[in-house]
Amino acid sequence: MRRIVWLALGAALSAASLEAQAVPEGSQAARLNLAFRRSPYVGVDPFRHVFSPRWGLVFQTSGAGWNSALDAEDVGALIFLTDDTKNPGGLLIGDILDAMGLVPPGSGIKGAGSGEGGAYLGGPFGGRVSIGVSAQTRAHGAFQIDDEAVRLFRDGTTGGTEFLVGQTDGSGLVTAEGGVHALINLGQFGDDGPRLTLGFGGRLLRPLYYARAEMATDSRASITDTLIAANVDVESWATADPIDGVDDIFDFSRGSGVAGDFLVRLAWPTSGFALEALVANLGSVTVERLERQTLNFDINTISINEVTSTLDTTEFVVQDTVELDVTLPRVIRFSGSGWANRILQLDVAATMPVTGEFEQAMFVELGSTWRLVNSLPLRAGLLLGGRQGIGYTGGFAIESRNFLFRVNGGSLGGLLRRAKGVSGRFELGFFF
Amino acid sequence: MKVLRRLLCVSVPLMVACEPDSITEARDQIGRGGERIVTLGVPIAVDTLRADSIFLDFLGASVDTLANGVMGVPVAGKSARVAVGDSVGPVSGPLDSDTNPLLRFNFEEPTEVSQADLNLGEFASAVQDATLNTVPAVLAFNNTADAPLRLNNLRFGVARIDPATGQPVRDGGGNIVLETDGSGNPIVVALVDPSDTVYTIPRQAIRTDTVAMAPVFDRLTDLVIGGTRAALVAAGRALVGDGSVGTVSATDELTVSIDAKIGIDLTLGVTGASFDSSLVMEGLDIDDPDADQLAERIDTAGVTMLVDNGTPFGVEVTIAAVRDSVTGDVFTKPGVLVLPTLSAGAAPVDANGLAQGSTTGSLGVNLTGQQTLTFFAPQFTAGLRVRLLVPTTGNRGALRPSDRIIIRSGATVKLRVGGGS
Repeated sequence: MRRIVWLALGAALSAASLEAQAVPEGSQAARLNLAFRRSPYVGVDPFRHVFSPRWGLVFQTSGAGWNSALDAEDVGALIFLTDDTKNPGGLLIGDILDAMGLVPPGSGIKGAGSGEGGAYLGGPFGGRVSIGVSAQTRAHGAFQIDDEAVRLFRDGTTGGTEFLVGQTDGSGLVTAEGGVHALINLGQFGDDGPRLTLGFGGRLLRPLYYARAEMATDSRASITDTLIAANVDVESWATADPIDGVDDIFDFSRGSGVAGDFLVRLAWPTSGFALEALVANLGSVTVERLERQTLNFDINTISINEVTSTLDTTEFVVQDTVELDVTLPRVIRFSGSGWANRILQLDVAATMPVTGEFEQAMFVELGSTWRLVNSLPLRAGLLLGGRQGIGYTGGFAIESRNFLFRVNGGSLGGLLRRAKGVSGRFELGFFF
Repeated sequence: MKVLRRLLCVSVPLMVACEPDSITEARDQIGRGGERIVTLGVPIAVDTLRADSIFLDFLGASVDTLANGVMGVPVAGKSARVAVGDSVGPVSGPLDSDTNPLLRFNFEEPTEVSQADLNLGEFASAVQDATLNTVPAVLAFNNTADAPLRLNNLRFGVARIDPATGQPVRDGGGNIVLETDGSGNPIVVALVDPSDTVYTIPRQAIRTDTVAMAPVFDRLTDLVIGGTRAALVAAGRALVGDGSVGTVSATDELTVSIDAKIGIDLTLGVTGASFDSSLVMEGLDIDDPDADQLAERIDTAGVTMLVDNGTPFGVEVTIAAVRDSVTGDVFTKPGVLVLPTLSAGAAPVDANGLAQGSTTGSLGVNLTGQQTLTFFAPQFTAGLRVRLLVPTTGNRGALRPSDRIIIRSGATVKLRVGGGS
């Protein structure tokens, strides 16, 4: 972590020697507040509105989700087939087998998603400091189904009769958060040097709901024409009594957590070039009152009827109530931006991979902001990497002195109907 | 689900109507991965069928084990009553049948045996086709008179019953006509006392003996199973008293109880012995919409049956299956699925017809998708036409309760998946 920060700082300090397109006199960039040069990115960004040049109240909501196999039309078709009013016959075994064919061999199915919604209130103190407080609800989720678990239904026993379940699990966490974030403008280095801004902040988290299920890695099944054997162990944890009122949010017996967020930004006012390093969501949340259940499916039989009857009687058994320490999916993002011409700003951002419960692959965002009118930016971009393939983002905003309105959307892993993921953001703010 | 649908179709601009317009379009969408063949090989069952359980569970015949280890089917107990008091009248004092002809009389007492009494269930037709070799019968003679009874020329035979009269068929002399063999000799089994010239039952006592009655029961079962009323006949000449003092009252009688067991020790002809059976079995219980779709997608469904026959009889089995639980002849039901005949040779036998080891046989059959619908129901009825064939050596086979047939069945199903609806 420290090495990443030093690398970013080193790159920034050496940027003085880099060639940069100077912001022309009278261009949109020259009249644009530095705060609005910071383009919105996909994912968690606790400092998003702390950069606002005026005191204001901003409401925001966003979400993003993707999977590695099914596109929007596939999901729409499955939803249609499960709708009793549209398909009285319901989803059939053959439909499930068809859907399994959409999973590419060798990779299994992975997916992740996140969402947030809340409000921010803050603004600048003098010319050097900005402080803001925020309250929001945030959700994280991820799942992976090992290809071995899919292979039986996708390929049958053609490719082998042993099926090791491997890494198959899924998690979901919903938290209520309240935070304080601050930016300190350390000033400009030299007449034409970069302006250094440091950001730091923290959030107090209250778990609203948590659920996780995982299969034991040694779970296996073997199917031949003379024997069916399986030993599958599943363990699950879930909040036993979900939040059903405001009072529950302040019930500390349900657990709590803390997250820290940090930012370093170098911006060259004249050239319009900027570099930034963001480390956010560092921390964990302790979730209490989790009901732990286990399921064991153990069979060794020569009769397929025994398999179906055993499946009918196999069920989860409550073991105990426990607490878990859940590590939040940390965000490490490096970004840079610059002005290509009078109206066009280009951005690049790389979000590092996340391991652990809410695993996510690295992805790179390439963005462009077109300011034909200074306060009406139009945005278009590409999202590369991840496990879903190329994505397309776009949006527009109204960024005026007293009013903020932003809408962004993304078609991830494909365009529109072929997208394997989606992202969206809506922001509405008032400045006074 | 509605919220998710709106989110998918609205959150991304211009992503209009990602929900299909019809079921066909929906299935075309998720089947867009291209048609492929998914092969699944699964075991269906391994059934070890003991001879006694086959008889009890499938043929409806209760079984027992005879002294020689062969499986036997107990016949309902029968009894014949000789009215001693009626024949010699009330009498008392020294009773010497050697000197007093009034103390001597011939008797012929029938007792009808029905097919239900044989307790052979669905195996009856096989018994009719075969020759019985082992039928031990326990005979109990109960003498109520206070005088010993000596029985001369005691014998047991079979007689037909005249359906008009309900009585055994008699000749012109009033004697019961006993069944005869191919040479015209009566088919009878005699009971003799090896230490005496007569068979003596002490006064007011019960004497029990076991006698082999295979020839009698072989003819009896042929008649009864073939639909002809028949009776066991106990016949002989009774001599009352041995010279000692005794008393015979008007109600005194000799009751002969017959408890026989039909041993499954059969001699078969060239064509063997056949019987039919049916049983209701659990299906895969797949709902009709799922079943119809799967049936359309089945490319091939191969069923393999391996038979390990540890009985002394070869087996030819033709199986028919029909959906649901039905009664009557399964082979004649509409929509019946008839599988090719499965054959398995007999296990090697010893000189007594007892199996030594086992023999294997196999059957493989391919079913169409529509034919598999039979097995997707919650239940299906299987009809069996079974022919027992002669053993490997000779033509005699004796079945023990522990003799078994092991049937391993498995299926390999190839499904067409993908490629749209």
